[in-house]
Amino acid sequence: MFAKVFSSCVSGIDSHRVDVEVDIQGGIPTFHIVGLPDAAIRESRDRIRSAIKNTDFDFPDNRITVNLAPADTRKEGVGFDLPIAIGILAALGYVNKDRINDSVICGQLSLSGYLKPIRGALSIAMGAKDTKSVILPKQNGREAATSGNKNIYTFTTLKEVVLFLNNSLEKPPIEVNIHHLFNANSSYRTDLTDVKGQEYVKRGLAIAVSGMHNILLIGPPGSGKSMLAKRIPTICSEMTIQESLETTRIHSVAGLLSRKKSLIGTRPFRSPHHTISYAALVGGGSWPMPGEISLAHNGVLFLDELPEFKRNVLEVLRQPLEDGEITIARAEKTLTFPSRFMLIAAMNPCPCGYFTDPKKTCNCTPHQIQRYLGKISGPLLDRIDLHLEVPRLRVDELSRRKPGPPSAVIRETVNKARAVQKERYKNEDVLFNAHLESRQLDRYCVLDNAAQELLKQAILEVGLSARAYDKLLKIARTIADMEGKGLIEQPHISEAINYRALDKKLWM
Amino acid sequence: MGRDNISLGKKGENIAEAFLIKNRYKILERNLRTPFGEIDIIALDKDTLVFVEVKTRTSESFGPPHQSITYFKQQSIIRNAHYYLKRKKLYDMNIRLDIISINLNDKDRVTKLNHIKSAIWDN
Repeated sequence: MFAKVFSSCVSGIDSHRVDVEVDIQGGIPTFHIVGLPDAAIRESRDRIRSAIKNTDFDFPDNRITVNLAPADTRKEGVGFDLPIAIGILAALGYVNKDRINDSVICGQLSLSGYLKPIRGALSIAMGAKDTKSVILPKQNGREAATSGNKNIYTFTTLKEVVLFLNNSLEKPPIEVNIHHLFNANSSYRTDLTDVKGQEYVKRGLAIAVSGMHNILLIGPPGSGKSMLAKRIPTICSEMTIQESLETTRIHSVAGLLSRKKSLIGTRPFRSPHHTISYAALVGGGSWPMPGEISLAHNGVLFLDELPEFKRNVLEVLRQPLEDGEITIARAEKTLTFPSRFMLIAAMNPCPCGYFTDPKKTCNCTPHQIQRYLGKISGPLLDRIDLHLEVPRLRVDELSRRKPGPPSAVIRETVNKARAVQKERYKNEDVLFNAHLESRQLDRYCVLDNAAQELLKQAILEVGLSARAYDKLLKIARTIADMEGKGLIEQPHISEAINYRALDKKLWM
Repeated sequence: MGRDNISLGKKGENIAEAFLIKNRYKILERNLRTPFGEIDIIALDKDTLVFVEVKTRTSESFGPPHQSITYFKQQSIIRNAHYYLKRKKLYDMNIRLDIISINLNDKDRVTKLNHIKSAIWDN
């Protein structure tokens, strides 16, 4: 007796079709699953047997062979429980075979026959657009429906699936209004007004976000670096639905979606601890999963205590910062995960942290400070455009200050600047000022005479390197865009110089 | 204990055979010898060929009888069954490996009979 059920698994963030073939023959009872299943799938035999028995079907005392085709690629995940169970029942004649021919079935089974959610349902739904029915566990319904696939049917038990496939149970496909869902999930719980004072830093953040410039925050402990960083997504331009789907897909594959949160409408903020492993930051593992840099796609990656991160771990950030994606190579295949994020790094000015503090004294020797600052590699620093000093405010200063403008107001300026960039770069392959190459700078960063004079002075007096010069121009370009100015003017240059604190080597 | 363990086993197998006959099984073989050991009972349950291993005990102090069947014993039963199937060239039948576990009291009365269908799988 034979049956074939179509299912799907996720590799990287894309889904691939898997054919679940079930063959039942006479002979001493066995139950084997072949096709390079991973440990979880091999264990699923007991789950499937119990689920079938608890659904009031007899589990066949026969030679059962299940093949997950194509047989030469590794399969992983517990989403094959349901299609294998359906395949067994179909081979025995309890399920209508015609109906399973035009379905894609995925789901995890509990011992009692209930369906449990799987990872990557959104990718699976996207990959099954031309299938008549996509059958999934109930908890994955809304997530899958956001793909635009109109043929998603969800169930809570194995029995329901059987009845549905035998046309004994009517069920409408899942429908979501993606705009409603998006609006429901797109408000932030924090706001930049939560931070008292620090207007200078906030201005710097606004500039950074407007041009997608990466930032380094330098300040003593308790100055509010983390608090500020967390609120950066609130001043970024709103996520588009396209971005939202991309990010949701990645989080779905990583198993981070819940039933309540089936669509991610706010920009992700990922803040890995500096002891994070290579695989966890970049992605990988024996079955490659997205890392923190991919979970931060379309959002912010915050590296607090930057000098404490291992050097080899930071080196891998180069590809994503440059290309917006990360390639993970394995013996069997090469996977590419999207990874376009804004990098925010934070550090203390010295090992003890209090070098620039107005009250506390710093106990570090100049040599210690040099070594500490030297821990950050040149290439990484190269990709950080803005350096912002975050001072620790005194208590009386904090209570005196009026709250600053809410994120929504700052976002308006950001949006204005982004619109200008979108128009300017519509025929180029860059999206934002931060991504301009040297050769494009001449074309797009035109200075008026006063600005040119100031720039010449700065190079002579401060001793700017060529690298710093490029960055300065980009920042000035963004500042000018925020004001809607075409030419870069002197105030723009002078403000930009402020944001290159490490160039000025204030404390060395 | 004072009782010969071999005849205890024989008593149990007879009881098991009677039980199967009562349940409309057709007995094909008793104590069939193979190069690997012995099969207690081979019977036919409608269209399914059933290999039965019988375990008899007089007390539960060492656990229920069927628990005494170790992994190795299971493998041995599977090997025996394979041998029989090969010899008789029965490749496509429905096959089952059952265990009948019997508790006898000191008066040779059956206090419990447990027929576990498809107890052994070849994994």
